[in-house]
Amino acid sequence: MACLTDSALSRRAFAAEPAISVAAPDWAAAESLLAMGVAPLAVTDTAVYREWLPEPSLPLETLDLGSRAEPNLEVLAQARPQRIFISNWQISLKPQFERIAPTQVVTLIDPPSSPLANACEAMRSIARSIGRRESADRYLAAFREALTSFAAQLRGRRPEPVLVGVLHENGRQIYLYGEGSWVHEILLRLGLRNALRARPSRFGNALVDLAELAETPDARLLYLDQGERTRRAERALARSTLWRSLPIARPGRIRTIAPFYALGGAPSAWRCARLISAAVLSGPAQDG
Amino acid sequence: MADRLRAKRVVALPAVAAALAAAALGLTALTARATLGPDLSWSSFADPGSDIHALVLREMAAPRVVVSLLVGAALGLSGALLQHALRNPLADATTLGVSSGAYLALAAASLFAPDLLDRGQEAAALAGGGAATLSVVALTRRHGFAPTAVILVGLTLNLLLGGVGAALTIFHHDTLTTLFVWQTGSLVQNGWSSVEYLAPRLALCGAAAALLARPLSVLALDDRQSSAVGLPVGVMRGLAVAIAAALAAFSVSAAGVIGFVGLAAPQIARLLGARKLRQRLSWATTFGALLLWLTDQCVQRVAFFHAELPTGSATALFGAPMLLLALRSRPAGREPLRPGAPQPRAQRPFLALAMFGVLLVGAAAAATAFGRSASGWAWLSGADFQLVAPWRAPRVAVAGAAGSMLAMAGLLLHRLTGNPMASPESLGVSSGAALGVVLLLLAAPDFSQIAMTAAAGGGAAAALALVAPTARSSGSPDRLLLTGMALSMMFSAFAATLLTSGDPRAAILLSWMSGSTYRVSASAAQLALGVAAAGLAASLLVWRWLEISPLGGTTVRAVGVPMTLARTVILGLAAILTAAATLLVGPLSFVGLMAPHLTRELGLRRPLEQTLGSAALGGTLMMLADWVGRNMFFPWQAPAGLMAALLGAPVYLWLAGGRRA
Repeated sequence: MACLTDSALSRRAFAAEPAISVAAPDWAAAESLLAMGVAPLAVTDTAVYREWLPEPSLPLETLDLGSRAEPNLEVLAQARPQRIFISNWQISLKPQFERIAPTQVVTLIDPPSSPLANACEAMRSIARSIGRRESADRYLAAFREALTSFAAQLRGRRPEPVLVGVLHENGRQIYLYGEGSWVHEILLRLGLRNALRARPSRFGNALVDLAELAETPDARLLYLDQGERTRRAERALARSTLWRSLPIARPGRIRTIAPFYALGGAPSAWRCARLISAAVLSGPAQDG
Repeated sequence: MADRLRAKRVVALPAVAAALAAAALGLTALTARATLGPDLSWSSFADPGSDIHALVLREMAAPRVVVSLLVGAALGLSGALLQHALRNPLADATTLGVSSGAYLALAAASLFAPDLLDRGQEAAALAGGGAATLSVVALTRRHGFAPTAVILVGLTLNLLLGGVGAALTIFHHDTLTTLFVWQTGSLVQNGWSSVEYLAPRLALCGAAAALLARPLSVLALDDRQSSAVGLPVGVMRGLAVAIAAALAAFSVSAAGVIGFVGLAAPQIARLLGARKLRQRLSWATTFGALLLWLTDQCVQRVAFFHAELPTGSATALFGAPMLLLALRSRPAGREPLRPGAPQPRAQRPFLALAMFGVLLVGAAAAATAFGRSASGWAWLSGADFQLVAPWRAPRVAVAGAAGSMLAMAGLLLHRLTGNPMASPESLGVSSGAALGVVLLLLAAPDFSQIAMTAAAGGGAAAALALVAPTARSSGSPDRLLLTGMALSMMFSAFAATLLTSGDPRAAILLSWMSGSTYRVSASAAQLALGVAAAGLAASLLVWRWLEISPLGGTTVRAVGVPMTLARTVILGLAAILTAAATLLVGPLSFVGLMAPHLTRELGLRRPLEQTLGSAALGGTLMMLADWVGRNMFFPWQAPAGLMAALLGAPVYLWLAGGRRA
């Protein structure tokens, strides 16, 4: 459903007046622009972008700027954008970008402020600088609505403890999202509970030993399916006595979900909410 | 007196071992208690049932202790075997590149042949470690395994393999953390599979080592003498090295790269009085096991920036200063150096120099004007030139300037110490500067160019302060190198910690560390050229001192230069040049080792010619590396320092191997 709303919105937006030409070395900015119907001229690492941020999809003619840590300035300069959007973790590169075009910093992770609120505000501020305020407002309203409807579908269940993360290939540890990431906030907005106990890093994730999962016996684990890496981690886990005896490893408590980009903007957060609520809904209901 | 000393020492070995064991046991008990609570009982361990705490103890904590003992023992034995077989107190799986070889093979397999890892992890580690060992052996055989030659080749190989590893992580950014798992050495366990894997293999290697101990002990004699005893010396050495390499490869395969243990354990055994080979082997094994057990237990008790420090990083962090202290208490031993045979001097050195100059200028022009863009390969012209050149020209200039500075610093250090291994990284200043930046990144959430510069400068100054007294003390090239090595070990430990933390800025740090010219501005380029020119002028002012300094202190004083002053000035100049270059192109500076040697190989022998030649060649090499890095993977950009190492290391290894001792 969210998917439908999403593409319908994009179509409507694409029909509108073309905005100024922009480049987005930051992925959160790139997807926010696309969601408002503005295709950036150039984006970093387009191959991985298409894998992790598949919706709304990146046009084929978008120029590849290469590494996110070192976007290719020669390519960017030749593309002659009128505005550039970078992330606050790329801020040390701002002087370089400023020489090509006015550069705006998009801030997502900036503790103690809320990353979800930041993602929405980032979209609004991008919209303001390219004259698409209405598109952003429309998109964010639809996002809020979607969150409410996901939460409504989940209501009636006891507030379930959920862990969301990425399996480590060593089969001994797991990356989990916690406070400081919008994944955590999405869980709360959906009426779920984040079962992570460990203190997450500045960027809202924590590397947790399997044994620590024993402390939250009633939690359910959703992990991102990152292809071959995830398969290898699953095989390593299957060999582990400890894992097999953990309450969380009981049937029906674990699920893979499609990958999303946890440092992305509002569209990624929306995608994450949709994936999580669908996964929880399809699992067995807990008595409450 | 001598008897009393011996008696004291005989007691010292078991006493120190017992103390280490007691400390480790105490910490282990604390860990167990924390897991299980006060009602710790053997029955719950033997049959945990569904009690998750008992399961954690049995499936994670207990195997972790056993694996730490096994890996520590393996590394200790491996180090002792290598140090004996190569007659080299600095030899160990880490310094010889064996661990890096195994790590790189595993990392490459995880990226390009992930299926292979499930079945053939061991084969990959053995192949990688074996290939690295064979390279070192093949390249240093001509030199009769002279200690400095072996370590030189080993460290070079380490740089090369580390560079390839860094390149893999830059282009596979999303798998970055996975790759660093092996590099940082984690002992976290999940079941007993690692124990089951390691135990029989290590037992086999241990038995082989025990059988070899007697024939090997003859190796302590000179090659000629031991040949006279009638033993196939080469075979014995080969077997010992092979066992050591296998031990290291198994350890890397099970736990990743854990440095220092293999270097320290045999040293401790020797310092405490283990004299005979059999004694040294068994005590090195014991101390290796105990050291790693203790370190690993400490790591579990101490949180480091909200996360457990990987054990491999911890051994480097705790171990490096310990090693320095241990060496300080030992009389400064001076390894006899075997300089290469004199090369024929170039017939017309100044014609050669002129050609170097033309090469430098031509390379600069071509690197700026020719390259790839979104529309393909092209010579820049017109509007494109105006759009692109402001980005490209400073990078070319900075690469050239930094290459020259490193080459000059390398030459100064080489001439000053008379040590063919002396180069900017062996001074530790590159690592010190890099360490400053890493610490800044750990401490401050945001950083600017100015803060980064200040941090790097501070780190370089601190490293200089550490190195200077070592370098000034009479003739101790090994100490100088060890100080640098200790610094770079600490640096990689810190860096690896940051890189595993999931911080997206880690990618920025990684590309800077690999020597990227990406961030330089036009003003930085002008400054770099200025510093390089000033450095060249200063180097030319001191060239007379360079001509005489390798001859030793007395000669220098005899010609009227106060030795301390000359040394201090040369050292300070080299440090400034290194620090400036590190800020520009990162700590991975192969050019500083390569350019002076190549210049020498090309027949420029006198300090004045060598200074000018090295500066020109160093600049050209770094510009070439920068150009390849910018164009080969377009629009991705590989860092210049990394490319210099990748292009230069094989050339250098080939030269080192080809030259007769």
